[in-house]
Amino acid sequence: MKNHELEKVLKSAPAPDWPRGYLESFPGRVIAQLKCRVRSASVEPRTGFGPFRSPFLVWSVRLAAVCILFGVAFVLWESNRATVTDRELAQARKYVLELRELFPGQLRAIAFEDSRPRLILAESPVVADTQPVYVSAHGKRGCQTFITFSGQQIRLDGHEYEVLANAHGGVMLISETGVFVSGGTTARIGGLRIEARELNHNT
Amino acid sequence: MDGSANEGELIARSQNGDHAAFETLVRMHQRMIHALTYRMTGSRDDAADLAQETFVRAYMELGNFRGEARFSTWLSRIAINLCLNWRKREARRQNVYQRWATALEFTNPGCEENPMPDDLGQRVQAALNWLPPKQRAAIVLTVYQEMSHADAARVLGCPEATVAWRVFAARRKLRRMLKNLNR
Repeated sequence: MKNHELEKVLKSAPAPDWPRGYLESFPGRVIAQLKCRVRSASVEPRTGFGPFRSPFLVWSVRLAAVCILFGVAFVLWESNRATVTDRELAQARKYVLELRELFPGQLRAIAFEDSRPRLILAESPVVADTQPVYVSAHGKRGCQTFITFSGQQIRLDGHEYEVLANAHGGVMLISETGVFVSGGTTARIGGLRIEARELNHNT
Repeated sequence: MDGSANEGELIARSQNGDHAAFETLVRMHQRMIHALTYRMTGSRDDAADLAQETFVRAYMELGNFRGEARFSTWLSRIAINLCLNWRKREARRQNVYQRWATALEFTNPGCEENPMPDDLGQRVQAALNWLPPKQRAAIVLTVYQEMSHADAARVLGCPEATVAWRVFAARRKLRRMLKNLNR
């Protein structure tokens, strides 16, 4: 492909159209942002790091959070118990707080498969700040554990489950194969033994 | 020329704190900057944020604009630098959690498991996303912004020969990735 042909291909792909209302209001938003910055200019210069001024400190905190995540994996893998302990739940709460700080509005779930943690993130910060939920499922294929949030979906044993938590600490898992409602004891759906706890609720 | 005289007046008034004049300048250049930030990030949301930040930064640094280059070139420099810093932050973040996480749920155009999209625009943008950030910047400036290598070098803050090399290297990669699109 010659240079002019490549250039033709590149230019033939248009940038996305911006909605009409968006571009019309964009200049006004810029001015509003300017006025906001001018008002707060005497308080703090913009650093991009919030309360942390030193990039080294920021990365130290992030590294610590990642080590904590590894610790979560180890504890949950080593316990291999059908019932999660209060200590594990307390630790899970801390990890959720740390990871939400690292990925604000993007953390959908933490999945633990074969003892390895996997972060499930949204592409942009669209995840609502809802109650964190611990879900553990034991079946023929082994044990799957998640930390997720009310309103999110997880995949257990090949089926999608919507996870819902209410203000009283109750958790519901809904799928095509059935509905699980927490009551402080484990229960079964489709051959899976499930345990679910709302992390912020004091038991 | 009337256009540039008008723009010169708007810049002067903006430098004196005239928000209405700056708002007009934003309106004149917003499409170009949005297209640039989109080409650099491949994400409409990030492009919008970076475009806004470009103009905010431009207003705050208007005192440094001496009129030696075109205003659009000066704006492009701010936008490109913001985009390159955005890429560095994204790359660091992905390095941290990719060491511990085994998979990502969201679509990553740089992920080899994902096939090339069918839509022409998406394929070209996916190919651009594969380029190293500075090569992508060189292509965006010379192809889409239609800058000369000299102007692109001023925007990128590097020698003209470096821009020429980046464009050459980028074209080589893009040819491989887009060869089936040449009809």
